[in-house]
Order: sequence, then C-alpha cells, then structure tokens
Amino acid sequence: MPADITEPLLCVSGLTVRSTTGTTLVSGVDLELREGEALAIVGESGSGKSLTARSIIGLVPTGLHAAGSIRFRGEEILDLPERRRARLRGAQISMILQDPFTMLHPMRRCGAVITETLRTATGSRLRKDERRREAVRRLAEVGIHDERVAGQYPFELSGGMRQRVAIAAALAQNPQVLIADEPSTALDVTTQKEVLDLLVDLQRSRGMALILITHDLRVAFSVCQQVNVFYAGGVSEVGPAEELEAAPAHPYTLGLLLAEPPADRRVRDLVNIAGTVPTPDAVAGRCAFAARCDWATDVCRSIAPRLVDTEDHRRVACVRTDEIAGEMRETRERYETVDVAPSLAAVGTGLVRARGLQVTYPPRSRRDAPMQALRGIDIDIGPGESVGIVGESGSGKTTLGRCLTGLATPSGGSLEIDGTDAIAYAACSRDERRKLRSAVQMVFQDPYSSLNPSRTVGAALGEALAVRYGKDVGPERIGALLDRVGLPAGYAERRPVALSGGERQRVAIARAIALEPRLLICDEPVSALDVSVQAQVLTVLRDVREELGLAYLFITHDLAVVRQIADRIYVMNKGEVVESGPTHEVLEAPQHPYTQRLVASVPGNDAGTPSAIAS
Amino acid sequence: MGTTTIGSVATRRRFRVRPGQALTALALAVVVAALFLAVFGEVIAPDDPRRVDLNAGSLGPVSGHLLGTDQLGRDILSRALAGARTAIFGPLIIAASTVVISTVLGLVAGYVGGWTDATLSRVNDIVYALPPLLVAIVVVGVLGGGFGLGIVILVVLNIPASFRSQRAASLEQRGLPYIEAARVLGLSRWRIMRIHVLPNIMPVVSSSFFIAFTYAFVDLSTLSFLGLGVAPGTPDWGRMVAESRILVFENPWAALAPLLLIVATAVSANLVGEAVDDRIAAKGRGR
Amino acid sequence: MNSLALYLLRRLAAAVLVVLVVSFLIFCCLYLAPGSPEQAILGPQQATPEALATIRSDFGLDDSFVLQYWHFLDGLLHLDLGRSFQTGESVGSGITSRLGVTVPLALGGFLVACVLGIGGGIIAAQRRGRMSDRALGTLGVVAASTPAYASGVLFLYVFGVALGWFPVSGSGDGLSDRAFHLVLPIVTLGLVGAASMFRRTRVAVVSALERDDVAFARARGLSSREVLQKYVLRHAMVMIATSAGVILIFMLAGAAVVESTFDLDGVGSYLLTSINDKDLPSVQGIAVVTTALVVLINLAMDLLYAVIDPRIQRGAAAD
Repeated sequence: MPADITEPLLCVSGLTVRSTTGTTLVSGVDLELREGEALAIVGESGSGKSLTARSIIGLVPTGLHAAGSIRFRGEEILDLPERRRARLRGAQISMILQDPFTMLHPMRRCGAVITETLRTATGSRLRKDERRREAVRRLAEVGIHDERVAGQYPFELSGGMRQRVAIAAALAQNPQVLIADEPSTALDVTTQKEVLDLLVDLQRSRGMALILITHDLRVAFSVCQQVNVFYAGGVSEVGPAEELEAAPAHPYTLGLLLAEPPADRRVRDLVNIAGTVPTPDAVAGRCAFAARCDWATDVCRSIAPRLVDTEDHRRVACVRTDEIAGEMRETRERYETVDVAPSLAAVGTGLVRARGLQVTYPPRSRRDAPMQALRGIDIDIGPGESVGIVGESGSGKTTLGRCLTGLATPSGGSLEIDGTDAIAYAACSRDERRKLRSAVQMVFQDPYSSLNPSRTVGAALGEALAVRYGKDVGPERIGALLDRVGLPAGYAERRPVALSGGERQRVAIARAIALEPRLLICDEPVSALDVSVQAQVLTVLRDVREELGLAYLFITHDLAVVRQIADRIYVMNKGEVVESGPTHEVLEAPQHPYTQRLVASVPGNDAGTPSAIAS
Repeated sequence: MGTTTIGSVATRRRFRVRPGQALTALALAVVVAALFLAVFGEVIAPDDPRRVDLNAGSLGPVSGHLLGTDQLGRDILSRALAGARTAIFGPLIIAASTVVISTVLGLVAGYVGGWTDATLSRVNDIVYALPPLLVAIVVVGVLGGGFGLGIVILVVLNIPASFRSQRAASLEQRGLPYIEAARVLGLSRWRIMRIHVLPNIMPVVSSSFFIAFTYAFVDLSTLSFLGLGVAPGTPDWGRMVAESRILVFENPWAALAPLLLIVATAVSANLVGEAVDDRIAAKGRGR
Repeated sequence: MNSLALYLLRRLAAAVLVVLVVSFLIFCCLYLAPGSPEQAILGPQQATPEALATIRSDFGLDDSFVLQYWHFLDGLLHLDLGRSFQTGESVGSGITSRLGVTVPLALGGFLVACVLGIGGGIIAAQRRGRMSDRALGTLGVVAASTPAYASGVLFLYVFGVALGWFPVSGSGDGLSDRAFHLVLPIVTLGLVGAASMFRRTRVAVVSALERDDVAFARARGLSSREVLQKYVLRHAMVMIATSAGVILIFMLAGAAVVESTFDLDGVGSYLLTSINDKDLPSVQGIAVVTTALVVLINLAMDLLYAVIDPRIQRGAAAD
C-alpha cells in the first residue's frame, strides 16, 4: 500500500454521524493517529466518542449514517463496500468493547474465540493442534498462563480474565490499530489498573497504535501520549497528555479536570460545570460549550469555533484561548491549592449499631453454595456523622445498605437503629416499622430508574410528604423540598423523562429527605453520572447534611468521592470490614494490604502521590 | 448479503415513505367497522338473518340477495352482517377477561414473589403446556356446553401466555430503584402494585390484550366452524363458512363472504395491536 | 453424566404423572358428559331394556366410577385403549390406521412452518426496518391471524375449484395420489405455524444481532456468514428450538381442523367424529395418546436446551 510518508496511519476529517431521523450525533470530528501512538478520546456521555470509534471500524449501528472522510494508510475507507471493509477489521483495525460480561460469546470456549479469525497463508483454518497452541500463546501474551482457560467458557472466568481473553481475541490477527472503548469501566477498581497496564504493555511491545475511549481524564493521561477531548459531538481540544494536564487551553478541559474530585485531599468547594451536555443540534453554529462557560462572550454564541493550531502541537476549538489562558491558570491554582481539613467528628455511636451482621443469600442453583454477602460485620454510625463504605463489587457494601433499609434481611447478628431493633423489619410492629422508615431513607445509584417514569416529580415528592405528615400536602411544601435540592418549584409538573441524570438524582434526594430521616443511605449516588454533573449532586448532598444535620452512610467504590463526603470510612472486601478509621488516615496510610491495593489503583496514583503538580 | 445486520455503514440514504401508516389507518378503519357491525349488524341487515326460504336456496347473487343465499335460502349478506356479533364479542370477552385475570395474577406473582409466585407459576406452566384449541375441542365437544363453555375454556387456556408476560414485567419492575424507594418510604404493597408497578407494565398489558384477542378470535371461530361453538342456526362467521363451503359451485360467496370478514378482522386487529405496541415503544424510548 | 441421567429420570417420572393426571381429568370429563353412553352406542333407534342392559354390562358401564377408571388404566398398561362405542373396533387400531394421513400432514406442516418461518425470520431480522422486513412482517400477520379452516377453504376454492389444480376432498389412494391430496392441507397447516415461527425467529435473531458479542465478532473481522452461523444463530437457537416445540404441538390441534376442512380421514377427524357421535372410548384414547405426545415433545425440548447451552449442563445460572 503506497502511503505518503507524512500521512498519519489513520486520518479522520469532517466525520459526521446522523440518524435517519436527522439528529446529529457527531458533527465534524477531525482526528489523527500516528503509527505506534496511544491516543485517547475523552468525553462525557453524548460527546460522540463511541460513535467516532464505531465509524472508524465501520460498525455504525443501524439507523445511523456516517459521512466525511476516514483514511487508513492513505486509503479512503469510510465508503468501502462492506466486504472490503470486513477484511480490514481484525486484520488492520480491531476493537474491544466495554463490558467483558457481554462481549464474549457465552456458549463458545475462550480458545475458540481467540483463534476463530486465524487463517493459514492459503486462507484455510488452522489445524486443531495449531489452534490450541496459538490459543495458549495468545493467552500467555495477555498474562494468562493457565492453559486450561483455553478450554473454558467465559462464564467460568472473572471480569478481568474475560477482558484479557477479549483483548487476546481482538489482537489475534496482529492489527495495526486497537480501539478500546471504555475497556476498564465495567471492572473493579483494582482490576481496572491491571487491564489498563496490560493495554499499555501490549501497545508498546507490539508497536501498535491504540485509541482509548474513556470518560476519565485521569485514565487518559495515565495511558496515552495524545489526548482528544470531545464535547457535544465535536472535538474541543487536542494535545499531548502532559501538556493538557499541566495547562488545559479549553475551558471545558479545565472544567473536567477540576470536576474530578481529588483523591488525595478534601476540597471545600467542589467544582462543577453548571448545566448539562447539550445535543450537537442544539448548539449548531456556535461554541457548544458557550452556555456553560465562564468566559463566553457574544462571539462564542454566534460562531462555531474551529480547531486551531496553537503552540506546542496543540489544537483548540476556542476563539478566546489566548485571552483567557492567564485567568484559567489562576482559577486552577485557586482550586488546587485550597485544602480543607476534614471535619473530624469523634467516632460516633448511637444512631446505628450493628454487631456481627450477616447476610446469606440462598444458592442460585442446587449446585451452588449459599452466597455469604456479609460475614459478620460491626458498624457504628453516630447522629449527624458522615460515614463512607468503600469496596468493590461483591464486597457486600450494597447489601449492608439494603439491610439498614429493610430491603435485605440479615441472617444473623444484631442491628439497632435509633434505639429500635431492626434485625427483622418484617417482624417489627407497625409502629416500629414506621419509626424505622422515618429514621432511614435511601438514594439509589441509577438516576434513570430512581423515579417512576409514569408519575410527575410533584406526585413522587407529594407521596413521600404524605407519608411524613400522614396526609396529602400542598404544593408549597413540595416547592420547598425542590428548593432544598436546588431545583425550581416548576419542576413539580415535570415527568422524569424531561429531567437530566443529575436533576433526577436531586429529586431522588428530595424524596428521601422528605421524611426527615436521621440517616440517609447513598448507594453510589453519583457513579452513573457524568463527571461534570457529579459535583453538582455531591454539593447538594453536602449542603443538605449541613442544613438538616442528618447522618450519611455513603456507599461507593470511588476513593476520590468518598474523600470529599465522608468523615470516617469502612473498607469492605468479600463481606468483611478489613479496615476502618478517619477517611484521611485510612486513605493516606492504609494498613490492610487490600486497602493499599485499592489506594494504589487510583488512576494517576502510580507513586502514591498525585501527579497533578507539574506546571 | 453484502450489507447486513448491525454496523454496516448505512451509506445509502433511505427515502422515507411510510406505507405502514396507510396500512395501519386501513386496519383501524376495519376494526372500527367490525365493532360497529358487532353492535348494529343485525339492525342494518336488509333481511332477517334467520329466515329460511327453501324455495330460494343456494342462489348466487341476485337482486334482493346481494350475496345470494345459502342452501336454506337464508340471505348471506344479512347473516354476514349479523354474524359479527358472536364472532367479535366472544373474543372481546375472552381477551378482556384473560387480560384482567392474568394481570392481577401476574402482578401479584411478580411483585410478591416467594411461595405465591412459585405456586401460581407452577400451575400456570401446567396449563401453558396444553394445546388450547385441542383441549377446547375435546372439552366443549364432550361436555356440549357450546358458546359459553367455549368462552370460559378459552379464557383459562389463554391466561398462561399473558400471565407470563405480565409476571415477567412485574418482576422486572420489582427490582427497579423507584419500587425499592417506595418500599423504603413504607408504602403498602397494594399501593406500590397499584400506583407504581401497574402503570409501568401497561404496555405489556395492552400488547397481551391484542394477542389474546387474535388467538381467541381464531380459536373461537374454529370451534364454531367445527360445529362446537354457537348453537345451530345462529348467524356466525365461522359457522357460516362450515355450512356453506359445499356451495362452492352454486354460490361461493356464501362461504367467501364470512371468510373474508374473518380474515380482514383478524388481520386488522393484529395490525392495530402492533401499531399500538410500536407507539408505546417509541414513547418509552424518549427518555 | 450422572446428574443428567438423574435429571432425565426425574423428568420422565413427571411426564408419566402428567399423562396420568390428564387421563383422569379426561375420564372425569367423559363421566360427566350429558346423555347416556348406551344411547350413544345404539344411536337414535329404539332399544329394548334388555338390549340396553347387555350393552351396559358389555362395556362395563354398571361398574363404579373408580372401577371403570381402573379398567381403563389397566388397559393403558397393555397398550389397550378400549373399544369404540360406535364401531366396536379397537380404538388403538382406529388410531394407527389413520396415522398414514395425520403423520405426513403434521410433519409436512411442521416442515413448511420451519422452512418458511425460520428462513423468513432470519431474512427479516437482517433487513430489519427496511421494506422487505415490513412486507414479510405484514405477510406474517396475515398468516397468523387467518384461522386454518379459513385459509383451507380459501385454498380449496382458489386452487381446487377456480383453478382446478388440486383435488377438492379425500385422502387419495397410493403414495403419489396421497401426497397430491395432501399438498393443500400441508400448506394450510404449515402457513399458520410459519407465521408464529417467523415472528419468534425474527425477535430472536434481532436480539442476537444487538448483542455485544456479535459486535465484537464483527469488529474482529469475522465474515457475515461466520457471524451469522457461529454467533447469531447460535444465540437464536434456544428460542427457535422452543418455538419449534410449540409449533409441533400446535400441529396436533391444527391437523384436526385441517383434516376436517379437507375431509381427510385422519386421527383429527376421527376425534371430531367421535365427539359428535359421543363415542367416548375413542375420544379418551385419542386424548391420552395426544397428551403423551405433547409431554414427550416438551421433554425432548428440555433435553435439547441442555445440548445447545453449555451453561445448563455446567449448572450455572444463565448470563
């Protein structure tokens, strides 16, 4: 294939993806990937990052249409007929998806999946023994040295192992480019780092180009040399990772950087970007970020900025880059130096007291053993205290929260909430149950299913208030409740469909505090939200606690988030509490090996210290 | 086979004609007309559908008998118009009863779970394994209960499929955070089922209704065709086809008219059902 | 595999139980049926009390309910289904002599249903949203909503009477004549099954096409054909197999309707005649045989799943 020597390996220009109904999802994306380079595409949901990747590999979902230009080794590939396009896939450009639990065929053995695309020089399939040998070799390359895995089915492997198998399968034909779409997002924190490290190793040892799609700037910086920031279907900033990290030139990049709560300290004011990500069509003909930008002027609102080359090989889509650089630097310094000591509450007791709490789920099938979700844990929460529970999936942290709300029934131990024995909600008297309900309320993870889609916000809140007051209440109470979580009273008329994720979560918080509980359980309340919105919800949670003086049990896998909200944390692993103490002590000097591993796996936390102070 | 399935870059721009909408409109018109006939068919019939006139038997279309007569000289047009009543009301009753019963049971089984669910589901599975039409033929045939028994049997035999979808939908709802939030608020089971679960499984309920209607329509008219449904002499589409199919040479309309009405009604009801499903699905997507 | 054998044994025991329960229910049903059996046996003619008494003792009608059921069960064990009230011939041979019509009809219909339904379903799923998909879908709706007897009469009229291509009634003699007579009935029966098969296949294939593992297979460069065979159909198989079982069972009921529409002398029309003649032993015999068949088909389907999906064998919960 003759290629111009200056031409990059892959060159995307003016890529636009529209649906058949005319909605724009990606508008005019430009992208350059050089041989052997690791490039990140960073963006929140709706930024068009995944569709860009899908367009590159030629797998745009039905009902969507990609236009523009994608050149691979100088050859235009966007309009290639499907047959020729299929020949590029796997052999030249390959891809792994987000979820290792759905990516592998559940009824095919791992070895078969890895070797199924391999052909001999003459195009025939490999012999059985060759396939076996290849499978073992490929598995070894991704760090699986157990040969038996080749003969196993995906459901017999852990998530991290599955993702490794998927990587081996994607790389079977030694492609030049690997696209990894959020490869670590569905995995546990500690496994995330392993998979990302593996990708970096493979990219370097194979001299392969990597396109990493992620919503997490820290992940992008730790893996890639070149970072593309996407916003609302377009590119807002491109540059080398270190420079972008040191001095973002686009206000959105700065916003994203600041919105990521730091894991190493507690800040007084969490930075959030007001509003939500717009659709590309809503911001056509102007700067997509203008509505949320502190520096926006009339110019920003009347023309769409183009990506312009600045110094240091960077490209920024902002007309005011040069004028605002100084102010942006100041803003950053202001936020990054502010450090608030944690409000040190004494170890609280009295509100919740759990001793030897156990939960056993019945086996899923006859052959399985019963599942021990909680293996006898002790928890104390004092009135007005904010307690964090940190752990990965399967740690039992969610089960603990469900026990406190009566959604799960403990099989052993003792549990006392606000002086009432709460070990068996079902066995409680009516009054006791009512007392427990008004003592403990909960906010759930998924904002999209936290609210009944067929009822208005007002109806949802009114229902909760009716429980509190024993009768239906007027709209002014509902309005006051909405105001408390920073939403206008007019939202009472809306249905959940008309709300963004962050707004829904605020309504869910309002519903929970309608009963004026003494303890609010927050089960991963921000993990399903975009970074720029997370801080909005965390701020609401902080404010609510300050005003109402209620206690929190904050369940999360995210150390940075827990640092911002909890005074004291429990670290859980496999149904047990492995470590507990004041948040800053546990996170700064972890004692238990598991906690140490957890802390070390925070992206960008290689040496145990943050790498953000480079400028 | 070049461009198939997901992912093929949809390079050609599809022009958007919607023949589907015209078809749906037509189907809706047929359903409305069929319902009208079911109520007023006998009133607007030009002749008494039961009047026998052996002197004018097996006539082809003539003046006075637009679609001719059957072998007993009864006016085909009048019988076809009047026959809508049993052919449509029967299945409507079946579909409505099936859906009401299965929704209540499915809601309880799916939401309450545990023993209640296990028992209901087990019984349901057994009934589900029975081939409805065959059971209806044997039971109605042997007990000789006619139309009424046919309706009861078909309700019982149609419940399982509908129960399954309603149960599955309720089960899915049960695990959703807003249901759990309602439980944490301390709302009663009945209130949660009524206010929070039921409205959100309505799409499944509506689709079950149309499915049950189609099955009931086909099965009930088959019973009539086999002489096991309505009483002899009653104008009923299925029965008319059976009685008149030997008249293929003398007056094919005697069998074809009710037959085409049956097909048109069933197809239209089905198409309307699908359109309703699509509409609801499209509404559900816009979150 | 030991546990598989145990599973099989348990299922088989359950199957026998179901047949027993159903046979008892049928027996009750017949016992409760209006009209006296001896009248049914003699038909409309007047009979002397002595003649009636002879018949009653001949068919054991004076025995208690339990004893009668016991006789019936005892006969079942010896594969004896009793004698027809109407003809006095053995019900067993009455059924077997008519299998020559019913078996080819049901299997033929099943084949037509599978070929048209699965083939159409796959094509429609791959072209989902396009004109060809909509057209196939509408055809499917038409076929599903048309009762078998209606399409049968329509076919008879169009191909038998108007065009004169096929015989209008009868089962035909000899192999080729029989086959010729069975063409329209088989198509009639097959079309109804095809509609249901089509719908289920399309849903199964569409949901398989939307799976991550299919996208991943495509991303690795597997050809469309490989993706279809190794991935999409493999996923859709479980649902298609379920549908096939349902449709095979449906063919039993459908055959009765179609046989009666086309005046074929098969087991289905035997059942309908027996019902009309109040020939209770025949009804009972056919019902028990059919129940056994339904149970067997269901059992075969369950075994098929275990073969298709390794997760079931290894005792893991699906997905």
